Parts: sequence; C-alpha cells; structure tokens
Amino acid sequence: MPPAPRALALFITGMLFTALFLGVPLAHEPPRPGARDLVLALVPTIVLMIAVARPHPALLYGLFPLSHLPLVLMRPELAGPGIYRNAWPMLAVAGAGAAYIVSAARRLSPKALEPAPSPRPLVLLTALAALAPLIAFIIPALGRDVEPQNAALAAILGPTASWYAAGRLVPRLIAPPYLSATAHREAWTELTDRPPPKRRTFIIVAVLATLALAAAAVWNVWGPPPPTLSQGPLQP
Amino acid sequence: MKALLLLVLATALFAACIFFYYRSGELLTLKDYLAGVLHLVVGLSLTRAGVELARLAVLSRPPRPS
Repeated sequence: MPPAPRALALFITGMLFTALFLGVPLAHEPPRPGARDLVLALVPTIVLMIAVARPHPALLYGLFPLSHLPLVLMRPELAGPGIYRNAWPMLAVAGAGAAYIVSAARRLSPKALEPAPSPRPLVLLTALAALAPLIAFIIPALGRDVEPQNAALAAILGPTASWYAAGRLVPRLIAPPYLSATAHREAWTELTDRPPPKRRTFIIVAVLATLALAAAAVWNVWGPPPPTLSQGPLQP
Repeated sequence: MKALLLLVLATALFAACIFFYYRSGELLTLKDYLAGVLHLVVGLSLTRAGVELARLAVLSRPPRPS
C-alpha cells in the first residue's frame, strides 16, 4: 500500500479511538462539556495530525495515547464505571486501539517510509476533508438536551460526509493528477476535449443553483417560517 | 496566479459546506429532519464543487515529475 492510504488509515483509526475513548463518554456523561473540556478533547486530534504528517514512534506510540490523559484527569468519570459498566464499550475502545496500533506499525514500516516523500498538501487536504465535516456534525450532537437517537443520526451522517469527501472525492478527483504526470495529462486532455454545456442547460442550472442558495440564505439569516396551524396553536 | 485564485475559491466553498454541515447537525438534533437533510445535500454539493475547483487548480499547474 502506498504511503498516502496508510496515512489516511492511521488518521481514521486514531480519530475512531479518540471518539470512542473521549467523544462518546463526553457526550453522555453529565455535566455538559464546557469550553475547557472541548479544548482538551481536541488535543489528541492535533497530536494525531502532527503524527500523520511526521510519523515517529515517540509521537505515534507515546504522545498520542498520553494526549488523552489531561481530559481524563480533569473528568475522571469519563473512564469510570458509569461508562464501562458493560463489556462492549471496553471491547470497542480496545478494538479501536488495536486497529490504531496496527495502522501505526504499517505507517512506520520501512516500505512505507522509503519511497518518494509523502505529498504533504494532499495528506493535509485529506485530513481536513475528513475532520471538518466530522467535527461540524458532532458539535451540535454534544448538547445535553439532545435526544440520543438524534445525536446518533448526526453521529452517523458526520462520518458519512467525511467518507464522501476524504474517501471518494479527494482520492478519485485530486490525488491522481497531483501524484502522476500521466494522470495529469489525461485529466487535462479530458477537460479540454469536453464540449461546453449548452446555453439552455447552463441557464437552467444557474437559475436553480441561485434559487437554492438564496433559499438557504433566507432560511439561515431570517430563521425558519412561523409554525402553521397543523403544528398546533402558537405559544405566547 | 490562476491556481491560487482557484484554491481560494475552493477554500471558500469548503468553508461554506462546513457551515451547512454544522447547520444540518444542529437541525437534526432539533428534530427538523427535512431541513437537516436539505442542508446536508447543499453541503455535499458544495463539497463536490470545492473539490472540482481544487482539481482545476491542480490541473492548471505543471505536473509533478514522476
């Protein structure tokens, strides 16, 4: 396996471990996480991004696991019997930890380190494309009053959007022309040979896109419409 | 210069899609499922558009020596 997919596998397994070890207990264990908790929860992610960009045993096997400790020391209940009263949370965390160790070992293997240096912008873009939708979906789900099924829905859609961006779009559209001169030439030829869109199609798409963006802007700036009679009487 | 402009536009689209993802998560947690799904669709479309622009930025630069 070339270095970039190994780095992506390392990032995903590391994020999974952090999410299971810190994220899920933080969402479920009262009190509601404050700003300090969220900042401490982000420390392992930052360490992981550095470790993915510059793989080193001390970072991967030492600093990354230890970076989870500050939050656990501040909130000991996150690793307490309230969370681990059943066997499956422990098994899930242990499984994610094992997957992370395997990914780290594969990333550190000489075969992965010797070839051409890893394309850092591409790895950074992939990490950003994976992380940003995940965080954007998870933050609203961390609220105290959120019902578990709605939080679970957001927690499922977040990784799905991450997978779409970092697992499908970036590897299929950007990575080949960035990494290979042949793929770059082919993509350029395909782009220049493509016929321009018909005028009518272009106008229809432009009008639809403008309407959709305007509707989204109206919704988000002026808020949702007032409740209708079918939603019950207006509250004072 | 053209690549830089395309990268800036791609970054702007990516930032916009993060906003829509955030709103989608917020609406889903408020049980507004239809609005949440619509925001998710807009977010995914903007992600696709941003990646296409980033691809154009890559293509507008000379290829890496392989």
